[in-house]
This record gives sequence, C-alpha cells and structure tokens, in this order.
Amino acid sequence: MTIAEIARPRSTRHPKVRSRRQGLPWFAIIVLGLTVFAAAFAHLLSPYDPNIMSLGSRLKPPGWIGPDGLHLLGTDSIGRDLFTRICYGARVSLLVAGIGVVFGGGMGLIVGIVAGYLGGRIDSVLMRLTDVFMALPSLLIALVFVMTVGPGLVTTIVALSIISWSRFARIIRSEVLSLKERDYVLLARVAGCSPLRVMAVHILPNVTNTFVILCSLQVSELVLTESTLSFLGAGVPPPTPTWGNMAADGRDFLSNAWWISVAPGLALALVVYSFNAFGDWLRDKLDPRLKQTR
Amino acid sequence: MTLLEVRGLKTHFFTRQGVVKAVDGVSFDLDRGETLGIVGESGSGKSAMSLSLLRLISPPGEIVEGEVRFDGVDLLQLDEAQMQTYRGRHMSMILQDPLSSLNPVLTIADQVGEGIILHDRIRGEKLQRRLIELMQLVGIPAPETRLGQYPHQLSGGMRQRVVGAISIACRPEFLIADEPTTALDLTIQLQYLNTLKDIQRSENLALLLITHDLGVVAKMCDRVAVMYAGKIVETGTVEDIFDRPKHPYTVALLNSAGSLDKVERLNSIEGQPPSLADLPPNCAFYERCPVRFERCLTPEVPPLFELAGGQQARCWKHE
Amino acid sequence: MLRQVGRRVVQGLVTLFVLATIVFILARVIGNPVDMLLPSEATAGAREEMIHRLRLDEPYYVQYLRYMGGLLVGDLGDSLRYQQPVMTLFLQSFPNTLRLAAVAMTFALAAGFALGVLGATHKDGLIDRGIRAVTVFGMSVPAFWLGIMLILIFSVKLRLLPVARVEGWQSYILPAITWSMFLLAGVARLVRSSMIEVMDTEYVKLARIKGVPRAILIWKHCLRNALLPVITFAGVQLAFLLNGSVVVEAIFAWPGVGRLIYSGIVGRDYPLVQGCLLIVGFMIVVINLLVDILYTYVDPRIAFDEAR
Repeated sequence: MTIAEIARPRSTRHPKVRSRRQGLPWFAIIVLGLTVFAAAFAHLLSPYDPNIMSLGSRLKPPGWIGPDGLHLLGTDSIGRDLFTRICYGARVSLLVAGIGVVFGGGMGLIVGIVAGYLGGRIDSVLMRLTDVFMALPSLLIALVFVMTVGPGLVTTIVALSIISWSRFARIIRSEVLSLKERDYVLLARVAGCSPLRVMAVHILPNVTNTFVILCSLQVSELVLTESTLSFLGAGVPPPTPTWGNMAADGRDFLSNAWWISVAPGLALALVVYSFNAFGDWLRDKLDPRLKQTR
Repeated sequence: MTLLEVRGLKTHFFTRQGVVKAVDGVSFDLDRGETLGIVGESGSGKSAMSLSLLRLISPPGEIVEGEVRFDGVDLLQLDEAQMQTYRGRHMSMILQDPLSSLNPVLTIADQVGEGIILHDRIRGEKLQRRLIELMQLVGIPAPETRLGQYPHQLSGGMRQRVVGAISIACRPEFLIADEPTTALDLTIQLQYLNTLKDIQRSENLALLLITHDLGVVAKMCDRVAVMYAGKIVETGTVEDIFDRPKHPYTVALLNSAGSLDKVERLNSIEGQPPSLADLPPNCAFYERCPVRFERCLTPEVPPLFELAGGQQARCWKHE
Repeated sequence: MLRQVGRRVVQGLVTLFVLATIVFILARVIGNPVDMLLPSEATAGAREEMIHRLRLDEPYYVQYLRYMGGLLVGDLGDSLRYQQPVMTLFLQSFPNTLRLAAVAMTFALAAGFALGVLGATHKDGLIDRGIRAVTVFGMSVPAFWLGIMLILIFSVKLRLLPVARVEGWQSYILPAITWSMFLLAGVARLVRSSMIEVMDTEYVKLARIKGVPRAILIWKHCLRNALLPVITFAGVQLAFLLNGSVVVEAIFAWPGVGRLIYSGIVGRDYPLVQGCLLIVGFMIVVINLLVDILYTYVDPRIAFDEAR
C-alpha cells in the first residue's frame, strides 16, 4: 500500500518522491557564476599583476593595506597579491578542467558509441582498454603521463582527458546497447543506412542527455585532479598561478602565514562542492536512472 | 464475542499537496472466528486502514484520532514497546506482494522462526518441529529442504505460503490479509484461499480480508464492509450486500463485477473517486452517483443509516 | 563457481597484459628515456653509449618481448636513482603504506557506516542534517588541502600531534583522517541512502508486523541488504584510494609506496614509477576479484557472473 494508491486521482506521485526533488541549487550556481566571472575578468578585477614580486609586501595577512592599496586576502611569500592570484587561478582551473572534460568526454563518447553499436571483437578490445583505465588510480595515470611527456598546460589537459574518457565510454556504451534494440534504429538499419549514419543520426542525439550529465559530474573530479597535480608539481608549472601550486607554496609558511594555503584551498572546496551539487541536480532533473554513476 | 472494536479511526497523510484523509472515521467490530471483508477500489483507504490497526503508519502518515480496542485494550494508547508485543503475537498481517515481502538475504527458517523466537522464546529442536509443522499447515511440500533455502529459490506461490506461515507463526487471534491472492495465478489463488480458510477455522482466527475481488468475498467472508474515499459506505452480511445492496456505490460495484462466479476485478465504474486530499463537503460519491437528488448536495456527509438486519448504508436515500 | 572464478582470472590477466603494453608504449615509444636521463649538455658519444647500454637500439618488438619476459618473472627493471630492483624498493615501502591504509580504511568504513546508519534512522532530523554537512564537506575538500589544514590546526597551532615521521600511534592520526575522508563521506552517503531504501521495503514492513524491535530490524534486516551497494562502491573506489596514498604520503613524509612514487616523479625515475604502476595495477585486479567473491557470499541471489 502506497500513498500513490490513495492519492491517485490528482497526482500519481508518491509524496516522498516529491519532497526529494529539489529546487535549483542556488548556492552552487552563485559560486560557479562568481568563479566564471572572476576567471573571465581577472585582469579587470584587480590592480595587481599576479606574477610580479614585491619583497616589501611579503607574507602580509588578509586585509593588509600596503603602499599600493588593499590586499584583500593578503600576500604570499614573495609579495604577490593572493586575491589576484586566486582569480587568475580560477582561469587555469576552469579552462583546464573544461577542455579536459570536453576532450575526454568526446573521446569516451566516440568509443562508447562505436563499441556499443558495432559490438563483437571491436567492443571487447575497447572494453578491455577501458577496464585498464577504470582499474588504475587516475592520479597515477596522469602522473606517469606527465612525467613521460613533461609538464605544461597542454600536457595537463591531455592527462585529464586520458583519465576521464573511460567512464564516459563505459556508461554510454551501455546506453547504446539498449538504444540499438529500439524500433527506429532497427528500421534505419533495415532501410539500409550505413553504420556511420545510424550512429551519427539515430544514436548520438539520444545519448546527449547522458553525456551532458556525465560532463557536469566529471568536471569536479578534474578540477580536483588538476589541482592535485599542480600541488605535486606535475601540473601547470609556476609561475602561472593555480590553486594547487598556490597551496603548495603556502606549506612552508604554515606557522607564520597560514592564509597562503587556506585561501586557494577554500576556493577549491567551494568550486568542487558547487560542481558536485550542480551535477547532482542536473542528473536528478534529466535522468534519475543514472543515480549509480558516481 | 467481540475481539476487535474500531471506533472513529482517522489516519491522515500530511503531504505537500495537502492533508490526504486516507482513513476518515472508520468504525467496525470483529468477533473471534469471524471474517470481515473490506471491499473498495484502489485508493479507497483499505490498506492504510489495515496498517493503522497494527500502528504501522510511517510519516508523513499519522493516526489522528480514534480507538482500536483489541481484547478491551486501546492499542492507540500503548507505547511502542508494548505495541511490539502485540504485533506478531496477537495480531498479524499478510502483505500482498510475496515477491518483495521476504528478505532476500535471510533463509526461510530465519524469517519464519524470527517471530516465534521473539515472542514464544523457543529454540533448537522444538523450534525446528514447530517450523516444519507450520510449513505443513500452509501446504508447503518438503518443508525440511525449504526451510534452509533462500526466497529466490522458491516459486511465487510457495513464497506467498511462506508469508502466510510467518503471519500465523505465533498463533495470533487476529489476522489481516491485504489482497492475499492478487499476485498469484488463478489455480493457486483457489488453493491458497482454501488453506487460509482451513487455518482460520482450526485456529478460530478473526480475519480481516482486504480485497477488490468480489469472488473472494463471496467465498470467504461472513460480513462485508464497502469502503469509499476513506469511509465505510455500507456494511452487512455477505447475503445482504450481494442480494440487497443499499448504497448506490455497492450496486455499481456489483454491476461492474458482472457474474460472481467468474473472478473479476471491480474497476470499471464510470468516473474517478475524489481526491482524498480534497474531499467535497457533501457525499463523496455524489459526482458518480446515478441516483443522486437534491438532498445529496447539502454540505454534510451522510451518516451510516441503520437498516433491517444490522445492515448499514451511508446514503440519504435511507434517511 | 570454479569455472566462473577461472573466467574472472583470465579477464584479469588480459587487463594486466593490456596495462603492461600501454606502459611499454608510453615509456619506450612516446617518451624518450635517454633525454630524461642525460643532462641536456651531454655529448653525442654519451648518448650513444647510453642508448646501447639500455638496449634501446634494438627493434621495438625485441624490446617489447624482453620487457614482457621480465614481467613474467617479476623483473620490473631497476630504479635509476636507487640503483636497486623496483620490486625490492616497492616491497620495502609497502608495509608502511599497508599499515596506514589499514588504519585509514577501518576508520573510514566504521565511521562511514555509523554515520550512514545514524543519518538514515534519524532521517531529516538535526543529526541527519549535521551528518550530511560532514559528508558534503568530505566529498568536496581536496585531500592535499585537508592534510595541510590538519597540520596547521593540530600540529602548528595546537601542537597536539607530530607533523611527520612514523613514531608511535599518534603519527597515524592526521594522515589516516586525511586519507579516509573521501571514502568515509562516500560510504556514509551510500549507507544512508540504501538504508532508507531498504527500510521502505515490504520485507521490512513484514518484519515490523512480526513485532521485531527496532534495533534488530536495523541490524539484521536492513544493514545486510544495505551492504551490497557499499561493497561495490568500496571496490570501485579502491583505485581511487591509491591516489590518496601519493598525496597523503607526500604531505606527511610517510615512507610508503606513495612517497616512493612521488620521489620517482620528482627525480624522473621512470622505471620506478612505471614499475610501481604495474604492481599497483596487479594488486587492484586481484582485489577486485576478491570483491566479486565477497559479493556472492553476502548476496545469495547473485550467481557469480551477474556480479558485475
């Protein structure tokens, strides 16, 4: 006996389902909006240059007013303004994670569709390949890749694509397997459409929802990985500010200038939380079946 | 000898769409050894009512008012620990879906024996004998093997019998059967009902049978209560209800069911029952009623009118 | 059953084979070890000598065969920096990682379980909301930053716990918390949601009809059913956990496998890093196999091959 049974006349929805559905995740949207804004207009938001040293204003606490003006979040060990660097760091984080997810997702999308649709030997080869990437620690893969090729912005993006494609491939493949049996796909095959055309015209549009959801869920992980790589010195190399290498810089000054590590980490946690919340919301909204994909 | 007296029971669900009055002032009596059928469309509050009797309504649902006197004790006044000694021991219930009523990770013996261990504190040899006895009672062949198995190894009909065995494991005096046969094949339905009837006779059970199958009612019940929109709209003996229905809803039910020899579902009455979250101030059946007249528009729910032979009907015609 | 285990083992071997091949391609075809080993001002003669010594002048397939043959007998090559077999180095630092992992994982599972059950049984209450806040935090906060913050608060400001070095049980606390936070949050979240789902099922309702007290209801009827998704989750997260090993051991200077890998990265010791990657991959394949077997034990419904 469910309430659905009782309340059938007006609404077939179980009230519990109702209350579980949430409104827009406003906090997350605001955080992400501000972050994008800061990233886009970093050069306008702050009068300081992110990379110019100023030994006179080393290790100053948040709110310090120097000869050149207010340092909202303080300065680091060589006198650079932290707020400025965090804004520029947002640029790097969003750019790297965004491009990484698009590349990796695109790769996974293609692999998933091809493997799922063509099946057979191609499928098993591709799936064994995804097995390997799913089984290994993503950070290790990225580290090994960066070490082999040498660190840099492009390397980092490629590394992130390499670690993110397999999950896309796996989930999209299973989606395609069921789509393949749908009538309109069968019909298209009977009508003599080439496999390429069927995949592009009949399959691809039907997995876009899943793709978008996966992208939004994956971004937070890539932001985290990027910052961890940078923290370990295997991401975007200094002096380019990233939240990861800023936090690493601050490690040596924990006893006298805690803010150097605290500020970028907080920014990171907020952004990751927001991406998570937004991705969850998007998934619940578009496709609750994907519940288990995290 | 009255075992169960229900008076003015109200169970409401406080949802976002408003207060769903699933049970809205239900009263009835039930004697030992008697079978009362509760009939109505899905959504009439039958199942919410039966769960209320066991006090198993979870939020957002709540028993708002009323009395449930069991052997003279008002169950609604007990605390949860006291109530637990009633559930399973004195009163029990057979749920409608045998496929999902058994815990997939526990053996049959675990699940049937649990209540016995809890209430009767029997273990070991004695428990084993009791379990085998129970399994035979509900008609499960090779009970020793079955007891060691897991639910997924049993067929649907077998599982329903296990659920039955669980419910009567501690020899309760009162048993609720909520649509006990809807999930079963026709042939198995009949067997199962016969088993149920036998057990009821031998244990002198008071049985509350919830169903929308009038064939089952005719076969099993002494008295019938027809529920509509959270209220009982007509009660009487099986003969009264089938031969002399007094409420237009009952009449419609009987007509929609066609011949009683055939086991058919009642669902084909014109129109929809009103939303339980938004009941009209007048008779809830008004919108669908073929014999309505001006009196029915008065903003007042008709009371149950006493008729000959203890029959009652909630219709202004009998004022 | 035995045949299915056999099939899984074969699948795992294929996975390892593909992994080894990928590492080979990465190391010898895409990357150029000589460039990495020699200082940029090295002479052409030194280069030649190096290439010859590492047998990089042989055709790829010969190199590949020799490399695979080595793997079969457990030869992962030598570390450039330590001049020792990678396997030896790995085995030296592995016990340290294992000890820390045992502490961290036990804590993560125990606390995650407790929080998850507590949240589910107090659904939407104050306790539940508090727990949810903790799990949201745990899933969002980067491990390296959490580690730094813990050091800042407990070592630098409060001076309660040692920053680094393995000495006594106190040295386990901060690294273990840092490492376990993500898994803890994930387990708590999952246990909570699957408990809530299970508590809503018909069989739990039937147990309540039997008069089963709440405590037994939760422990006997709900928890075991709620366990299934958690096992899957923990299995899937295993690889992810090893990410944590690198970060945590780098921050807390913990002499384990993660730090070994980190030092390999910093020192460009490519055979060391790639060898460790292979061993880690091997362990993960083995553990996943064990998880599958555990799964069939907990859930009698599942025939072995349906587990995945």
